[in-house]
Amino acid sequence: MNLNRLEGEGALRRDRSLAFTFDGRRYSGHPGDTLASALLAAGIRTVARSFKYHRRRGILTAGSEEPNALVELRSGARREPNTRATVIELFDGLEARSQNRWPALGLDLGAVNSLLSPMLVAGFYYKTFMWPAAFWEKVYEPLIRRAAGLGRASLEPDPDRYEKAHAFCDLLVVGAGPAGLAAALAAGRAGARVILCDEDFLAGGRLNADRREIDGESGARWARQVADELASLPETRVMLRTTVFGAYDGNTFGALERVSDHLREPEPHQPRQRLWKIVARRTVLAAGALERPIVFGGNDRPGVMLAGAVRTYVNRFRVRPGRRTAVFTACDDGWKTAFDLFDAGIEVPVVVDSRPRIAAELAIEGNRRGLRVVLGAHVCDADGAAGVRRIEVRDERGRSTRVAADALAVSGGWNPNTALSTHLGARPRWCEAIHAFVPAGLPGSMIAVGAAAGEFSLSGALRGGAAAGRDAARAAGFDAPVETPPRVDDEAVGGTPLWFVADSRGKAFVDLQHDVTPQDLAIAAREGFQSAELLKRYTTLGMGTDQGKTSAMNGHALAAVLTGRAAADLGTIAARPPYTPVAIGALAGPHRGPHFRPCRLTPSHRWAVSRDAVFVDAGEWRRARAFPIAGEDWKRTLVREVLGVRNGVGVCDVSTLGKIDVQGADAGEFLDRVYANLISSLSVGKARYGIMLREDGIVFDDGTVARFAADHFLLSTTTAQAAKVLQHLEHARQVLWPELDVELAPVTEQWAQFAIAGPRSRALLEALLGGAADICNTALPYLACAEFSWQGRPARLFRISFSGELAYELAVPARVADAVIRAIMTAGEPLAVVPYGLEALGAMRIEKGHVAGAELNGTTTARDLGLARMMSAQKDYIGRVLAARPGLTAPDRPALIGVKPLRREATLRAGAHFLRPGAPPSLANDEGFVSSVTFSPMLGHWIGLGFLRGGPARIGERVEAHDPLSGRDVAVEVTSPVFYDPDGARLRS
Amino acid sequence: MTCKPTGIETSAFDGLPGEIGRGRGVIATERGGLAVVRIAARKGRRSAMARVLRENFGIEPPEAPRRVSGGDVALAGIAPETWLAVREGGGNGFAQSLRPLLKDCASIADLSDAYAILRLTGPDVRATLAKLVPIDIHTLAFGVNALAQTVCGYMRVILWRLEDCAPWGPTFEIWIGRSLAVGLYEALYHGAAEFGFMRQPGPGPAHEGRGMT
Repeated sequence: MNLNRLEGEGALRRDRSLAFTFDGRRYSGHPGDTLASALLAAGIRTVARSFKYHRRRGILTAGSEEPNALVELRSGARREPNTRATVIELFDGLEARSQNRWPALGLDLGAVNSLLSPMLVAGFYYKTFMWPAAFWEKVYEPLIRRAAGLGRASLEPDPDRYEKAHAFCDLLVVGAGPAGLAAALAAGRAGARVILCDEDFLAGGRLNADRREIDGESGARWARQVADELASLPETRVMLRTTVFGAYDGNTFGALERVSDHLREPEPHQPRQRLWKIVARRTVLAAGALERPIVFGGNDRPGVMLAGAVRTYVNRFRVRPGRRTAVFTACDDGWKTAFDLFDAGIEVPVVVDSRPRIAAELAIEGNRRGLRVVLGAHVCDADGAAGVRRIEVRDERGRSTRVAADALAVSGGWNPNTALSTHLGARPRWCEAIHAFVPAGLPGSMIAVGAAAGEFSLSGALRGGAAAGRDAARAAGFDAPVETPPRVDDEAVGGTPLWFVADSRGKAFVDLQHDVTPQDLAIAAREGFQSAELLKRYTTLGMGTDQGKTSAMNGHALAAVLTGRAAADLGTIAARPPYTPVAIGALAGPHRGPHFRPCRLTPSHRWAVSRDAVFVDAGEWRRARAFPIAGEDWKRTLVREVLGVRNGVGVCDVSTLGKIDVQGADAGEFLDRVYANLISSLSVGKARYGIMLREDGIVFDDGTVARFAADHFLLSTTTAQAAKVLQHLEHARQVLWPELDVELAPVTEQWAQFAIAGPRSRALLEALLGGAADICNTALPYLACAEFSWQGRPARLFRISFSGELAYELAVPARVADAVIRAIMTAGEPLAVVPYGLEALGAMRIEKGHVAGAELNGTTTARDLGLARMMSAQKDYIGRVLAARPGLTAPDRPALIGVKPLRREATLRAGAHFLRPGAPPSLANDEGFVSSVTFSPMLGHWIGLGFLRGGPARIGERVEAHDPLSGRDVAVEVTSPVFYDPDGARLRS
Repeated sequence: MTCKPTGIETSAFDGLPGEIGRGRGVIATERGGLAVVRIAARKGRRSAMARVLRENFGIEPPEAPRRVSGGDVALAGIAPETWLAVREGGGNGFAQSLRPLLKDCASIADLSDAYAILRLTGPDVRATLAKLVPIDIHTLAFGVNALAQTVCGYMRVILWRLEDCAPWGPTFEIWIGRSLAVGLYEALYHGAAEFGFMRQPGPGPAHEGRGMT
């Protein structure tokens, strides 16, 4: 079945077979195969259709730079489009499908686009879909969207887990080829902390793909031995299947470890992928080089493959890419492919070298094998409907010969892999000696070695790697001796670039993934898109999943020729992260679904769950919204809870309010400076409402301040602003007034706090506390506070009220909160205590006209809120000066009022805007807005708070509450914001 | 001294699963009974404060984010001029007992209930912590008694390292605001699952009888 499998092991385990399917047909391969090598072994040549013209495409490379062989992997929820067959490690049961074809890979109706190719040139979209403008939304966009994109994403939730992890090292080595291994070994043996990453599942890089000798044994074996030694070093970590995809500031790197992608599904408790953040003192870039193609007629046909990849398939995977494999090269390295093919018993009909002269040793080796060699020639066409069948070779004098071949190995030379080197903003530098860009401008902590630095010889790679590893170890304080470099066989690494064949026959492609042709580049050049970056955007050269790894250099060289410049002058694009595609799931890590962000649970959470509370996520917290009884709708629950409080007693967990402990000799002075109202005059044992302004005069937060001792205060903040207030106060303490003796302690988590509200609240507390505290109206009047010991534990009681009822807040250590809430319920049982949630809390505060987050919204002043009298004239405080700005004191600013619907059954909506009756809705006529609404159980209809131009002066007027979102307008009457117990008699009872 | 649960205190980890995976790569012990007090020196009174601590507990407040211990009390530097004093057992009474001692030289706040605390040990504790916190916890970078205030996921935590505990290996304590205990626990539980994870009640196997914090 595997027609093209050669004898021998390579890097495979031939004793085991793995079954897989491609487009529904069954095939088999071996452990150690990639999907690409297994497909080639099975004789599959066409694996995909191209993006634009739907041309047949085969396998071009043996690595992550693959532009063609993109397939859909797995099925169902795990279906993943655009995976590169060349890096998919074969596993038993693998399912893959070709994409971008209909109805089938062999017969694809989209190929008709090819006939339109004279039209579908660079800039086609920009020029075509311009007019009529009305066509854009209805016609053009749907049309383009249907044609655009490759592959189909699974629409089901991803069933796999993703993890994030952090690692730190003295040396990060990117790439486990010969240079990377040598670097890691030198540093690792010295004792440095080393991380060696490679995207492959096998260490060794090209040592696995080439027949090389190091210290008298095969390069592949040497690599395995080094990898084994590295794995045995205690401070060295070898991470295979791990792509370092990005370099970031602060010596930080992103790496993606494909933990389970080589398995049918992840093992128990294993993520599919793990995203690493690696911080490295030094980094060695040993990512090797990417072979560059030559652009010629028919260069996209299945069977045309990069020469280095051909060697990889032959030597590592024991696969022949074709029966008769011709070689077309512009460099010495291509010859190695010819020799390896021949030595593996594969027919090599011709070796075409574009150089008129070659190194003597190559000629000798070629002769020895009896290879047919044509120098100073080029391939101008590769022909064959379903893949290469013959090539046309044109010699120096323009004479053409047709040669039968079913595969063609092509090498235009090698480009150092500069990817990570550009992520921090550096641009690669043109190196004339190797006719390629090399990393330049790297930070001092980063060095490129081996082929990534343009050093293409094996001995140079080993030497450079070892030196860089030594340096890194020494920089980290380790003693790293110079070791004798291993002996290696010599090699020729010369080349003269051949970017494209000018007299090509047939269609030639620069960018195979995006079907960009030399004609497209010519149009772009003519139209003035001459910089490398503009060229990319205009022609799509170098876009897509491969980001031009095999096309950008040829494209830029071609553009340079077209515009009469040197390649060095045109420059190249700076690759950005990620080096290869990274699944969004890996970036999200565990933070999705219910784990999207952390959620804080209140001290009484478990009790609330046991009471079947319904919860709402309010900021960071999950709070009980209401405690419904079976059969109730939300309104019934609300009415029952509010009436239960107002006519009896209720309890609510208010622990989420921020609590900041303020101590120090200057605590009072400090609070006078941060609150708008006077705090230092507060007596010990008393509490006071306070507001804080921002520096710009806008209200920042409100809450209560209680005083427990001359030098000890406790403030409460709103739930939402707790962290911000602490930050603000710390800034004031540390930066503005470091001379004050003030110490702040966040104590929100320490104290569980329960509001116990309603006319029977005192009775409940008496039953609960026994004699632990005197809570009669004289001992603990409205706005008093007390610290006492209750059952051997500290407790605090505050006579403060958000509901407007006689109310207390009881604070206890959080560890006993669960016991305390249950004790409250027990003590309150004879009093018919009701637990109430946020909904009832909100309704009662609106009935009382108390402002909250919707009113303290970052645009309102104390005056707007009706709190002008709180702004002390006796002292200075943060925000005082700017609160007096003309804009903030303008009498026509919208100010707090209440509203009720004229038709009592009407529903109010927050966000509705106030208009004078009959005024058309426009910005000019806007008079303010509704900020908070509730159904008022006490009044039996909806009520709201809002800000109206003119404010309380307009009480009694009728205005429209215009809500364009719901499309409903409600006529409302302007009222006082205090709807219930305006004199506050109930508070003091 | 060990924690004596009084029966009315609840653990922030109540009801959460206690075990996952095969093996015992990570062992967590809840530190439910610690007394924790935040001590901030009053302006210009640091040396007076240090003297009181030295005289009463025989330990010097550390200058850096580090932890020192003596007897059954440990002091951890968590901010300039600010420490956490930790005592095995003692509950909320520890703060009350410190208040008269440190009167006028430090502001103290009882935080015994503010944190959910897990002691973590086991052969895979570092590999697990690497998934939780973005700091270097290698022994060279984070030695015994090192302390860091850092984040786990998006949650603020305090992490410190104790003496290694044979045969369990490196030992850490991770502190989180009590309201976030479930979030931390889930991250820990899933992160340690591949190594095998177990949570056990009590002060921990390696420290039993040693009464140290």
